[in-house]
Amino acid sequence: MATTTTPPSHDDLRELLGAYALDALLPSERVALKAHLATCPACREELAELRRAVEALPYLADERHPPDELRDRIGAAVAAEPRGATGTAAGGPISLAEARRRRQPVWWALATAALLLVSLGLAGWNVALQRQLSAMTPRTVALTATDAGQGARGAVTVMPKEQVVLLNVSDLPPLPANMVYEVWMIHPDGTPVPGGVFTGQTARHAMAADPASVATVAITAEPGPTGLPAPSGQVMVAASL
Amino acid sequence: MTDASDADLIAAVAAGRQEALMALYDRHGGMAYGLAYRVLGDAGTAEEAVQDAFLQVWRRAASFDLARGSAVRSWLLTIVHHRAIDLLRKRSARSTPTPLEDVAELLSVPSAWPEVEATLLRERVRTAIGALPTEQRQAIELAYFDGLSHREIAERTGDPIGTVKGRLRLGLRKLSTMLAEPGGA
Repeated sequence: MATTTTPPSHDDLRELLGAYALDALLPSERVALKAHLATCPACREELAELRRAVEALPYLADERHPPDELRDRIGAAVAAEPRGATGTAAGGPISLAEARRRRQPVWWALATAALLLVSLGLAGWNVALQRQLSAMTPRTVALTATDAGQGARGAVTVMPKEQVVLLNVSDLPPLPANMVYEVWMIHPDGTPVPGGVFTGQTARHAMAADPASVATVAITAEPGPTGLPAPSGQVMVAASL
Repeated sequence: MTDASDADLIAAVAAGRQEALMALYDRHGGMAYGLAYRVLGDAGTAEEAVQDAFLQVWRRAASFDLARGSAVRSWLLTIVHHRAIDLLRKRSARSTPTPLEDVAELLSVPSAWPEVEATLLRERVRTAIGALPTEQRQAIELAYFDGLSHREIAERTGDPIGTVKGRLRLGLRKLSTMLAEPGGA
């Protein structure tokens, strides 16, 4: 194809509108057309018309019943979002895949594990269902910082129905070299169970657990990268459920 | 929540009410999943696309401008489609789609179908696209469902790029005209 030295005309650009509406243009063409649209009401009007057709295209696909687990996964993913995330799109949305790559791979692994446990643990539900209804609703408990964790704050949310314990924490004290934050789920009898590790001073962390079996959630600093099977460091923050 | 309109639900989502998002999912999840499945052709990735899209809806609900008259369903399906094409292009190592921000701009266009029943709309759209010349319909479907650029469509069909551009534009224009015709509704 011969390259042209003259800028594309209105007619040339107008010819691109269909491909633009379908996101089928090359990036350079898209930029040129966008600039043209800013100054051409006629093209904007035609684009609006073409867009109406594009908006109808989803109806060419057959409806399909999604697997039931998908609903649960969406619910858990949304519940894991930090509070107030809605409406603060200023930072720009990132795709789930990007978010997964960028931060907290551990979180996602645990969340996935949690969901797996939820599906595997369905049999145990009958027991849970016999409990009071109020015991099934999610609730949030604030974290208390100790001297070792001065300045840290956050909350623990328990989701009995999903069998998930969510931890949201920010401003933890900086970690010494080669250390990680380790989360502990302490049973009513005082036994601490490792709940995973992370390194960010501000983090979201999900754990698969029956909240009824967790009396306290606490965070300590432990040797990295995997933490220890039992806590050795001082508790920085804790919440009694 | 089931009696609430989509607009009520999206407002509740913007206020941080998760049950409203789930109500939207219960209402439109089948279409969302069907669309993602049509694009991706496998259940696992289609589920990923739908999950990502609903998370986007959750995060962006406040930016949805009801005053502009866009339909919630169209907005939601645009996000699902965008995510599905993104995953499709990544899988085939092709270019990523235009950022959703740019696509979302197009959504400020007031929708023609805010309140039309989905099943009715489905019939109308199918009839209309069936009435297009085969080459136009094929070009539109390759762009929309396979995420191909005009150049890739031209390679696929063996036609000049200019011809493909023309078909996309003409096909969409005809489709839009047919769908706007009274009586069809």
